[in-house]
Amino acid sequence: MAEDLTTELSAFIDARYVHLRRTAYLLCGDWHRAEDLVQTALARVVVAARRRRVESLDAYTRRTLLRVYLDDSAKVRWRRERSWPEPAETAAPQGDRDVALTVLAALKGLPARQRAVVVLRYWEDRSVEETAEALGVTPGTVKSQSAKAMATLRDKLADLPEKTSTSGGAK
Amino acid sequence: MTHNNPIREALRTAALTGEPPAGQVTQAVLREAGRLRFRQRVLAAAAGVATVGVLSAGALAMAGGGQGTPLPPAAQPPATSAAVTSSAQGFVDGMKILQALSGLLPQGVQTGDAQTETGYARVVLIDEVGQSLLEINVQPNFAADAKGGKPDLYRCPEINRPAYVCEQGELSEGVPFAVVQGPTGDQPPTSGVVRRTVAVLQPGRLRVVVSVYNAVDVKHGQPTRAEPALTVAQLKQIAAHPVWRG
Repeated sequence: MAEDLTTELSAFIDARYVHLRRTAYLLCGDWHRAEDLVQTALARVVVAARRRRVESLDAYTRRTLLRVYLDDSAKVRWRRERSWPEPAETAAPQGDRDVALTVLAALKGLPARQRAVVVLRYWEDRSVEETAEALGVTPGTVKSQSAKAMATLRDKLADLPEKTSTSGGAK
Repeated sequence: MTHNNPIREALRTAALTGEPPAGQVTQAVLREAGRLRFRQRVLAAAAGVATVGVLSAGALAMAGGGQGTPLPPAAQPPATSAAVTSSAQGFVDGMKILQALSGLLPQGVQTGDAQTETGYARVVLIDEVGQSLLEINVQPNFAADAKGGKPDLYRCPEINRPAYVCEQGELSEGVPFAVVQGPTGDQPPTSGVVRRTVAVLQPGRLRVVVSVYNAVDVKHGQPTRAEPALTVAQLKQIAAHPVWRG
């Protein structure tokens, strides 16, 4: 039975690691830190799943990753510059790189919880209720945090290249 | 929602541009989980030993003095408090929070499995009725101004749920507190699982939040007892204890 669980957990990690790492990257802006956050969260999930039945590994992992990220953010706040290094040089097209840099810079300007709300709502495509549950806050808090974050992002991303401009659809 | 699609597209571009190749991490995660579980077991054992030590000292004092004076519930500084860091900042260390908590538990309450992380400790309380999960969060430098100077995590006036009680007030020392009692608020709700929570804002913007449940697996399990193991008064004593100030 323990072997079955380990097999199930291994399959889950294999299947979800890449997506979780991207989510963590959008939260923290650093691929190395993203890997640390995801591995720490997954280790906690494995411990919890071995101790008791976890209904939804996806939901539990999401909650755990957010908790790890928010805790870690509190610890590294004093060295924020280090936690948001410049993205590495890549072979990606210049236009996409510009977009990525602008988006990451805009995210960097948000408080940690607002970043988490934006990432959950618009990257993970989670509902207000699911986002509230993952963050342990009320739906009303999610709505207000989301509104503030979106206002900031629209302002900062107004000059993005046409492909991803936010100005056209903003109400 | 349509007007937010550009944000979604922007996030997608940011996440996928320049993404380094992902290595194979499964075995590393499983190994780390093993180390984490081992640390938790060691911690639980240490907490158990500390509790037994305090209880034994109390029993010896009662036997030696012949006065039959019971240990005051959650009133004396824990025997381990000297080992706890001397600054409030130190209490974000989950292990130290757990260590200090062990000395504040009422007589007759023992500890089982425990789990810690920065700022938090979770421990299973065991008494003659059954098991009960206790969670504690110690948060130095709480931004009280943002919430009108009250330790109001729960925004009492905004909560309108059946069987939910949320009240705020001041302890006799002028320390503000909030008490929340009722269903856990998890979605979907876990049938029959209730919590009691006391949040206290100690001097120096030190927020201490203590919650106790009538279950161990509060999100998915069944209630293990009719009522949580500790009363609101006991939670207040724990949350308002000066040991958290370091």
